[in-house]
Amino acid sequence: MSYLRNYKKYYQIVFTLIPMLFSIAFVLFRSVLLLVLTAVSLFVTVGAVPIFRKRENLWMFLLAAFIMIPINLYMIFALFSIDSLAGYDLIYKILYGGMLYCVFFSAEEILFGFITRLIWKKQYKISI
Amino acid sequence: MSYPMLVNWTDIKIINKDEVIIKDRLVGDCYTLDWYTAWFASKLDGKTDPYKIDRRLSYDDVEELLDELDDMDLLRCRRILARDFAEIYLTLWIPRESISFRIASFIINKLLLFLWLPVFVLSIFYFFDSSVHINDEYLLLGYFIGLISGLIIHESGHMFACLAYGGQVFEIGVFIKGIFPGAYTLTNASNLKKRMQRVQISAAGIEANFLFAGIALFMATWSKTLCGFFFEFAVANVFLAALNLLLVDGIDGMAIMGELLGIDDLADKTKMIKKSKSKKRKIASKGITGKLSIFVCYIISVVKIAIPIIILISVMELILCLI
Repeated sequence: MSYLRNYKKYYQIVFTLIPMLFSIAFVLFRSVLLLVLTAVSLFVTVGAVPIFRKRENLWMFLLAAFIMIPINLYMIFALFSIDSLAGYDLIYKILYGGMLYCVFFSAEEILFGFITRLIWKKQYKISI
Repeated sequence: MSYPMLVNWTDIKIINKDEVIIKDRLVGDCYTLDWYTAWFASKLDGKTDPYKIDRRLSYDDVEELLDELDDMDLLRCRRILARDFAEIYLTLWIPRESISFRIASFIINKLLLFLWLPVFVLSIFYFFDSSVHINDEYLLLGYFIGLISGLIIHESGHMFACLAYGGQVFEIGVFIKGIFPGAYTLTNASNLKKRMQRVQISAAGIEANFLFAGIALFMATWSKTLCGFFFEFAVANVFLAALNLLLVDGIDGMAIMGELLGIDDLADKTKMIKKSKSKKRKIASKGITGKLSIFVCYIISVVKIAIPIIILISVMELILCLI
């Protein structure tokens, strides 16, 4: 029985790693399909893993924060490789990059949070 | 507004023939007044001389009544409110709620809700597809007009959404906090039971900015002489929308995230968790959800770094412009 319990734990961990794999694959192969798969797998993960149940938004926030790191960085580097922005100083690029990362992060969290709330309407209230 | 005025965020409720309750909807405090004082307070509209409301009252009587109301923070004398050191709020408009205005708000809110995304996305594709040459004329003018009108559009978005769902809009105004100017809409949406309605009220400003950025991009594509003006107008609106998406205290993004996560006063809780170790220990003892909540609060507090970065970039841009 303990073997079975461990098996359950492992499958939960593997499930949470799948969106991360899609996210890294998107950066490597630059396919829009992989970007869509990353987002879809995020929702599937949140819906499938039992520990996330009734607290989907909180877990989605955490998962999206880590899983979107490669994609956000890729988008920022891709933006700076445009001819009109390529000539900027390094300090400018770091500052703009930081600002863009915060904007991308906030926008994604709101978007994912919104869709999560639409799918899983009834969740436990989080009291801090 | 040359005379004292009862603050516009109060509700007057008659309990019996002797007592009246005045509720401060902003703070949530309730005050019990005698019927005469409440009647006197209701007559203070900013246009009426308080000494002429009731001729039977002596100068001292009126002063006493005004002092009593002032002690409860129920009076305001000017459009400018100084709330704290280097924090000034200027009231621009106090909307009068009518049924026709609410119906109009409902229609505008629905249009905003369903149009902002398609208009913005289509305009971007159309603009880049048309390979428009952006001329250098009126760039700066376009940006500044875009910023100012973007602020008005943003606050109007909040107002229309709030009125559409049956919330209260007390006033629209501008403020200066330290050296940073901004605009605000004072609303009360606590009576709304649906979470998504409260989310829409907070998000409506951002949606309005994206909608107008999209319209400006279409205009930039069609207009050859004013292409630069409309392009910068769109840039200013996208900048305002992006700024308001940030998960930073006092910004719309934080209010939206608080509603979506289901955490009341997310900004205050984030601050509290960072400061109080005992509170942190207490939350962590709630198990994995408690620990996760603390972690989420820490992640949110990292986004704060965007504000000094934006200030630094703005200062650097300004210096470069001057040089």
